Amino acid sequence: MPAVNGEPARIALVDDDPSIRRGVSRMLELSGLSVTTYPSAEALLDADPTAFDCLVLDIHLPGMSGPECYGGLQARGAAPPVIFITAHDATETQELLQRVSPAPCLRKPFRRQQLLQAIHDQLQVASSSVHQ
Amino acid sequence: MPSRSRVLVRLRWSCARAVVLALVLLAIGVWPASAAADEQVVLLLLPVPPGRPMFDTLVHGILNELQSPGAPPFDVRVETLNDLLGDEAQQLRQERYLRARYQGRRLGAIVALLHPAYADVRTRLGVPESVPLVFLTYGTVLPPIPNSTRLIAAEPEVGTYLFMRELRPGAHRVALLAGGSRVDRRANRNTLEQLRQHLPPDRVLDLTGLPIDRLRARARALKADTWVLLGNVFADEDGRALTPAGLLAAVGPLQAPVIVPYDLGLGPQVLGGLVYEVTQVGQRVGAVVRRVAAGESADRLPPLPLPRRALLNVPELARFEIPEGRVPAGARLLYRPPSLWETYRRWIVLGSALMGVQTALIAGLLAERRRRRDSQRQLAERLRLQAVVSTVSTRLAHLSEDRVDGLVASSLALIGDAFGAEACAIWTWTGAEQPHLLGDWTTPGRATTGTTLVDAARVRTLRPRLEHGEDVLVTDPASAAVVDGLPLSVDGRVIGVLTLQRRHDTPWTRQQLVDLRTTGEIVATAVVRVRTTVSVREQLHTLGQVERVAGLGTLAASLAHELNQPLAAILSNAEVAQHLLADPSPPLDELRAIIADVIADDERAGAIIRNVRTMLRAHQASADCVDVGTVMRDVVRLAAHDVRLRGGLIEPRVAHGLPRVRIDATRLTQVLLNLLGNAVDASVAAGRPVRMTMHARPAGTGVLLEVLDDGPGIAAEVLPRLFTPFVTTKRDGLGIGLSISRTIVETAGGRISADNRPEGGAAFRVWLPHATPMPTSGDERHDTAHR
Repeated sequence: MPAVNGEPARIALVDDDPSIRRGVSRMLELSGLSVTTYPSAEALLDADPTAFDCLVLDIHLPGMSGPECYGGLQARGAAPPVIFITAHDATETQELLQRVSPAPCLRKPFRRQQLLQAIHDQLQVASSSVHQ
Repeated sequence: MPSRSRVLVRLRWSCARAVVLALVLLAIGVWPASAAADEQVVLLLLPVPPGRPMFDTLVHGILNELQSPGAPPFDVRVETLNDLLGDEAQQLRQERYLRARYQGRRLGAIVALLHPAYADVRTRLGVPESVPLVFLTYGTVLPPIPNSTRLIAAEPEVGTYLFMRELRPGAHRVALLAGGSRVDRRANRNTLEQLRQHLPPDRVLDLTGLPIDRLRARARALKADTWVLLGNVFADEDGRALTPAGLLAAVGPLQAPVIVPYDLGLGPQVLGGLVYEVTQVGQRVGAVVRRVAAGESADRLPPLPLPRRALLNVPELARFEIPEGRVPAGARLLYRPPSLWETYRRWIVLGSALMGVQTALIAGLLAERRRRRDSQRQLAERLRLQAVVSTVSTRLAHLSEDRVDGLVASSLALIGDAFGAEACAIWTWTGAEQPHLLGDWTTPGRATTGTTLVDAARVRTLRPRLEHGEDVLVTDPASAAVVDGLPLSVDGRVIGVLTLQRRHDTPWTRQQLVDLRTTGEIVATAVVRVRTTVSVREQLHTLGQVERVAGLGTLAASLAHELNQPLAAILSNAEVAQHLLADPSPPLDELRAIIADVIADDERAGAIIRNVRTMLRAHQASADCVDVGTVMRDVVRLAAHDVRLRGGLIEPRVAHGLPRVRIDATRLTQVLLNLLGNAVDASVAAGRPVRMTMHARPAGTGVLLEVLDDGPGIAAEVLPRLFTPFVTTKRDGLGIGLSISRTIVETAGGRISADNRPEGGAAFRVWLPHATPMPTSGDERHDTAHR
């Protein structure tokens, strides 16, 4: 179970699709994670993104896209680890992602294990970087 | 009786006057001596002054003979001597005048009546004895006169009476008719005496010397048994000159037959007679004169009896019941009542001519009437056929594919009926395929023979000839039927044949053929047009299909996204549920919520798939009542992701309470997607995000959909041809999207247009009419059944 300092890891899920928000949050919560959902990047930014251990961002969002949002956070030096999700497989999407940051990207639909593994990996990377 | 001295004085005065006259004549150049020397002077001495018909005619005869062409010229002088109507003094004056004129002259001849008064005429006029005398005698007997000759007209009056008496023995009396003057009485005395030698004196009536009234009374009292013999007529009782005809006219119609001695007396009231023809008498006298004047001895010429001739008046013969058979040969019949032909010749000729003209006119009128009737009939026929042509052409003007067969059949019925055919049919062919029977018609109630006589095999055989534009005639001796095949050409290409079966083989007139062909070609053209339209529509439909598939290709990313979303949600939820079910007492409420979400997402994905299937399905368009707003939102949702991906922004603005429109939803979707796609392409071309707006609002009697963008707009040169197929500005575009959109919109009764917005960018507008209630109840039932 991914945890951070014994506490359930705090995950922010941003997706404009309410079905996705409900399904994915159930999935993460079943694994003992603490999940907060936002329908848009703007909504996430309005909250405190630094309060989360990991961000799960949809790439294509109405308004600001996921990568744009994350790029802004990185620029502020307050970027938690991120996992992008997308329902798209177009090359434009890949290009958009590479422009912003090389980050793991899961293509919808994805298995629970894939997402948990990705979150775990990201948390590991984050903690190791903290230890270093 | 004048005294001697007075005579002498008168004579002296006369001599003086004669000299003066001679001088005057000399002065004015008419002196007889001035006549050409070689001209012989012939003196005609008449007992009357000129103007008496008898003597004038005689003179005319003499002159006629003497002045005949080629004869030596004579100077013929007519003088009056011993004027019977004048008194002695006058006679004396005449004699003196003539003596003064001719004394001593060597004349060619002197012509005179044999009468004692003329016997010594040479002496009296002082003319030498060498001048020959030619006498004309009427039976007068005189001793021989030296150097003279005679022409004898023997007893003319008695002669004619004796001749006529033989013709009509019943008439036993004769009345001699003459004027009322003393001269008349005296001149006819001799005749009376002669008559009395042939008849008892009481049967000879003397009607000479009577006043005209008494003469008329007595003459009219005469019965048919009395001959009225016209004697020598000189004057009436008052001395006024009278001609025989004048006397007869004065007496008026008589019951008795009138006979005459000279032809001059003949007339309508005169029976006729054995007559001397006075002109001929003159001519004979002239001939004798010519001989004696030429030097022949007059004495040696024997007396010449003059011929006479019976001239008879036919109507008078009839009146006095004298059969023509009794008339001796040689008699000349006068006044024969002309035959009908003679009498009315002019009228008959005129009548015949008129009848001819009339006949010609009638014939002409009949011909004209027939011609006019013919042309009227032809005109009526023509108009009737024209009406057929126009009816057929009107019927087929708005032919739709589903009504082709019915209208072809009814047109053929019209044609067959109008042209008196038993059966008719239209066959068409394309390329090498078998001829196809477009439609046929047979007279109702008649056994069908038309299509059996001309079948597909026959048409195939005839096809080469027909394609040469040749009319063909098929006869079937067995059924005595004749089938005409008229090639039908459309746009100069023979595409089929119109066959007409008849019982008779009267050839069609040129006009009928033209009308027939025209009608057949109208039908064929209409069918070809409909087929072409159908074919074009089918091709367009296919193209539309292609375009939709192509359109979906461009939307593939968007579709994948739209499908992946629910799939992702379902997978998540399913895994959660699976995990929860591993628990011996699973949280059922949670599971129920999860399953509800799964179902919803699944339905969502299914809807998308259905949409795609709808898009791809090559289905027959069904014009349903659709809500434009719903279609528009669906389209935006379908395209939004793609639009967004390609840097665009789209916002639908749908007014509330929009009326529904009647259009196939899929097709409307296609139109809107196409318009959006164009806008997105424009956005890509512009290299910057393009903001798109989709409006839907009521406009007039329909709904106006607008797709606006703020891109670069439409190039001015493309704008007019924007909706033409295969016009495109895109590098890889087919250029059929907008033309298909136009077809879809117009099929639904709407309009589509495009222009550039004043503030920049393009504007596409689609107007669609309100859905009205379905026209037929059948369709309504159909509609209801689907609900």
